[in-house]
Amino acid sequence: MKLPAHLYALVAVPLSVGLGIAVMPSPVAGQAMPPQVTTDTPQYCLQLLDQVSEEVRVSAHPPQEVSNLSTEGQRMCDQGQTRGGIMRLRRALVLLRNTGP
Amino acid sequence: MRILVVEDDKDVAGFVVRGLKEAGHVVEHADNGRDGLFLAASETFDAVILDRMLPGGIDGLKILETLRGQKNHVPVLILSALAEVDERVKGLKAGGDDYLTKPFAFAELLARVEALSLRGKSEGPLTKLVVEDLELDLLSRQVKRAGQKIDLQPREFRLLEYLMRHAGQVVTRTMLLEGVWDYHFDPQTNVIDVHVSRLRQKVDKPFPTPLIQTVRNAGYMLRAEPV
Amino acid sequence: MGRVLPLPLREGENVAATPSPAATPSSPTTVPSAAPPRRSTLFLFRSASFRFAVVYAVLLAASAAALAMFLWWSTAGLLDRQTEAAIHADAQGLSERWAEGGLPALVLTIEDRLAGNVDDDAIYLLTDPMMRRIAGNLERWPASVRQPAAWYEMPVRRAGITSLARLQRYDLPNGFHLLIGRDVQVRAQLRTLLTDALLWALVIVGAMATAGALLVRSLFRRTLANVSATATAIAAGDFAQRVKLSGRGDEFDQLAETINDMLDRIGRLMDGVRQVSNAIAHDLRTPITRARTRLEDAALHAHTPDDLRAAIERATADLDGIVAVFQALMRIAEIEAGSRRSAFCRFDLAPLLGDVAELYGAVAEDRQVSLVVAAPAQIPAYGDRDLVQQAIANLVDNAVKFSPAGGVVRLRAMAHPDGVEIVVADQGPGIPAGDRARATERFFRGEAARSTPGAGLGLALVQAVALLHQGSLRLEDAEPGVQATLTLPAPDDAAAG
Repeated sequence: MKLPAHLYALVAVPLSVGLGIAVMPSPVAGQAMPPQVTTDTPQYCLQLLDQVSEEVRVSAHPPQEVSNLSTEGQRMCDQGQTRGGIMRLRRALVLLRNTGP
Repeated sequence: MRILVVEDDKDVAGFVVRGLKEAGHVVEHADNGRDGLFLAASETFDAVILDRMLPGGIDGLKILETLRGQKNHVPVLILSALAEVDERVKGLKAGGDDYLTKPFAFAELLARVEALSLRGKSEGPLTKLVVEDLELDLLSRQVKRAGQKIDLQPREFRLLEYLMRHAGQVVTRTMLLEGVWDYHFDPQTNVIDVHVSRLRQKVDKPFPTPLIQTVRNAGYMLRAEPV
Repeated sequence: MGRVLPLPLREGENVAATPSPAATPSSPTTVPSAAPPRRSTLFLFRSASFRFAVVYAVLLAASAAALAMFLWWSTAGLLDRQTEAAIHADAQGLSERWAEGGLPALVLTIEDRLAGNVDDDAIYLLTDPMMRRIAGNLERWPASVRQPAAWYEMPVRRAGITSLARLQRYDLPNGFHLLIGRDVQVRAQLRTLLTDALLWALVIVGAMATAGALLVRSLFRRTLANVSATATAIAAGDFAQRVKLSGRGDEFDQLAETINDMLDRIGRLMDGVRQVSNAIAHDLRTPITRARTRLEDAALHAHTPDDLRAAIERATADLDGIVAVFQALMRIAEIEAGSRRSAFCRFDLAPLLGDVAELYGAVAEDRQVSLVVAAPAQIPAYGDRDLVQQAIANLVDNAVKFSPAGGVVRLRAMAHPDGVEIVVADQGPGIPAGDRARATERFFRGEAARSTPGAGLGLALVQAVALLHQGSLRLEDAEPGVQATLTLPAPDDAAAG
């Protein structure tokens, strides 16, 4: 049975609205390569490691967790899982700061 | 009586006017609403016979309402082919005093028109009705003829009372049914005749002169002279 | 409206003319001709079932769309709002630091925050007025981020993978530029997921709405098809058709019952008219013929004026008889039309019975029939007093007419909580069982009644009065004789008094 025009419209309207939402008015970067985030590199990993060691040395009672995290972080960075390692080192830092001198 | 007949049908009007004149009345006739209203408003009549369906833009009920609006209380008998009770009620509410449906017997019309004349003249409350040697006491509810007491049932009393109030006039069976029994239909049997004959047994038979006369094809009349 | 009901006129049919020629005729009610449904789009838009279906579909789709939008706003929208709030809070904090300690403090704070960014989603960039990088973790200032206080979403590279960042620019009073943002890749993925899911859901809802609409439409039409099929059949002439009830007692069933009642009533009225037409053809022809014959006979054979006068008087009496029959017929028609119901009121039945008994008592006595009345002193009844009086009078009249000499006619009345019963019983020849059903037809006269005067309308009138009062007339064998029971129900608000 031939569907009347109205029912077609019923389906089309929400569909187009949805598609409109999906296409966000965002200015896409015109450059060829998007800018790089510099805190995802092995160098930053080493930087954090130094910072952790320094803070451990200064702190009175460093929690056990910190040492585990920094060891694991260092290992991950060496193995190439940079972001994972950086995250563990950051956690270690936060733990140290929270316990605080 | 001076009677105004407002009726547009030539045959019916002719018939009625002739009959009324023969009965000894003075009759005026109008065959449309405008003339009828004019005549009724400008001259005095003892009764008006008014047809409902009239040409000329003014129908019977409108004439009636206008007359009553002018405080003209002339007795009016409405004549109409519209027989339904609602129409009857409408006619009486508009100010009519009686309602007769077509076709009608002339005797009925005559009897009712003459009865209308009674309405105009009420001389205050009566306590006694007297016709010849027949006396009816309304207060004590007693009937005497030539000095002798007559025992009547309550309904027989009312029947006699109605006849006496209309003494000398024709009283039709329909009028008796309406007036004495409050019965508004035609019973198709001669119930009234039986009641009247019983009344006659008590009121006329023991006495030399019969007062209750039968009017052929019409009804009854209370008077000494036979019809 | 006291005339015979004007009925739908079909070609060739003449309805019996009413005796009020001067009254304006009301427009005849025409049975709507059910045209076969035309399969054009125009009809489709006029179709009620289509409208219902469209309303259903639109409501469903609109509700679903509203729900979807709400869901999207509260989830994906929330995610965006959280990100923006975090960035603002960040900016607030950083500006305080800058106010406290100037540039060095700002740089330190940025590095601190980066170091403590466990969620690994913060993006900072501090540049000098020349757009040279001073601090932060973005390698360069993105060229497209030009306006402050505007939201930008753009890709960034993270350890070789492209990610999405949401950024806002803040300009410091000394000409330095600060860029604060968050990695929203995960959130963007979530948002896309959600949007897709909701869109697909809407598509499914659209399909369901269409299917549902079609279903609603067919349900609607199926329910109405019954009524319209019956109406079509009736319009085509099959008057015995009635609308079928589904048995559920719902609004459609009530409608069907009302329509059926209306059809029954129309059927009765049409039967009444048919009866009258037949009766006029058969039963009234006789007295009319008789009157005519007498007049013709008188014209040919009367020699004296007295003979002529006698003939004329007899003819007049015959015509009066015919007029009386017509008036009785009119009365029955008026009662059946139901217009008198508006004049119903409460009245006492007891004096009415007394009046009727007293009126016919004399006639009964004359015929050596005794009329016995048994009724309570007060009988509250509801209806048209005059009509009830006439109905009872008709019954008593019949009873007295058909009673043998020495017989007894009993007139009884009983008051029940739900109505009033009036019973008239005679000891006459009675009505044979086969005739009892037809006794209330107009002009019906049983064999035993052929010799008695009357047109056969008395019981028809009583029946009409009974029906008008929504009561009933029952005729039973009194062995011997007839027992007629007239029942008048109490009004619905009897309790209210």
